[in-house]
Amino acid sequence: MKLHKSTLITVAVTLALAHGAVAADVVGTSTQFSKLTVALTVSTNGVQMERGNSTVNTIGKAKIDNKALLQMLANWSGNSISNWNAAGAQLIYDWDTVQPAVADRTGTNILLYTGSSNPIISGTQTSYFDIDWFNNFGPFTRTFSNMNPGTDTFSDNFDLGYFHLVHNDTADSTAQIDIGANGPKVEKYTQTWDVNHTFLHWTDSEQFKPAGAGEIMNGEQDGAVSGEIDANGSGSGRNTFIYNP
Amino acid sequence: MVCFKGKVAPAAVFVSSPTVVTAPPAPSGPVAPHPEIVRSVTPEQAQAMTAPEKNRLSDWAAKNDPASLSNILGDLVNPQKEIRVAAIAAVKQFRDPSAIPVLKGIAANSDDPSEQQALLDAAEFLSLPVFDLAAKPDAAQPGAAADGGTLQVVVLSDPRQGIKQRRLQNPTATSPQ
Repeated sequence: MKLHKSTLITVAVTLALAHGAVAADVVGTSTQFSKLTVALTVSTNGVQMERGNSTVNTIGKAKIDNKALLQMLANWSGNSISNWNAAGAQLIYDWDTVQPAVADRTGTNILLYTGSSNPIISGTQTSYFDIDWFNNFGPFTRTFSNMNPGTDTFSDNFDLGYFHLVHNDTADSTAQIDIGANGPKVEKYTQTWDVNHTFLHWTDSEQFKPAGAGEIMNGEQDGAVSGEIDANGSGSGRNTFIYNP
Repeated sequence: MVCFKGKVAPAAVFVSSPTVVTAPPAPSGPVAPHPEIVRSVTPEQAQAMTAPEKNRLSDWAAKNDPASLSNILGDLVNPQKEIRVAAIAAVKQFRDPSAIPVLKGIAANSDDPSEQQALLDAAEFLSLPVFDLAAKPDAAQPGAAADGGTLQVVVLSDPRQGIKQRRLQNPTATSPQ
């Protein structure tokens, strides 16, 4: 097929526009992060129905997964989900600033901080998504090797976690979201060091199973939430937030 | 047909037609004793072995292509439990309802009750609609009764209203921090 000059120009312009569309602003960097996995089920009462001589209440359920949460955060912050997807946007937990964040595919380039200390404010709207992995502590198991090189491995099987997803619009009460819940959380952390007791590598997993009631979803009261939020990460040195022996 | 990366396809469980499985030929000579390799693996070594695949699962979960789904489904039957658990988390994130029968099939053949439950929970999670910011979670709509009957919207007071008011006036426990 013979390509016309105007066709080539159109292709070039399209490619240039597409290239421009993938640009996502980097607002910070993370040196220590874990990948987040969110799988929550939210329930609310459906509309009340009358059938024959009965009045019927039913429960409606929906899920919030990583993709749904990314979409919400993009909407609330005015970012383009297409641009984020092109950048390989993912949910992470940034141990440097101790809050969840949206990062690009590398995990180190932060596109949006989401914690309650960095609420997303847009006009009449205020939103955040935060996690407290260490809301309270339970007993733990630990194996510390008294030698160099060596390892320190511990499991906190009875911690308590907490998360909070908030969207408040003073101009629209039906858009309100206030979902927060505690739940059991299991942490597994491993630290290694070399012959000089210089920290080499850390790995950490957080497995949090929140459950709560009295949640507000799209302005509806008396919602419930359950599910799981996990974080898995590793890095060189030590995790400066978690591991402070 | 669902493809798995070089592993036994769990979907085969659902094939209703009889499947002929040919036994491997019996060894002709004397059978040497099976060498038993006992290797103690430290938690760090185990983690180092599974971490790359768990990372790949995380990447596949964020995608939307058949190859990624196939890879995730393949890891649902990985010999290492840690990988299987990560695959269950990944399949929930992938959002493809075609994985539901696969999850149920593997659950039916699992000997581990906790893993069985996790597989069934994942199947249920996949069947849920995604939370819609513009609407309430999926619920009964007017004219959509499950048994085909006609539904009309009505408003009754909350039967728990009395309890709620009493709790507001006299809380019985403090809220968690």
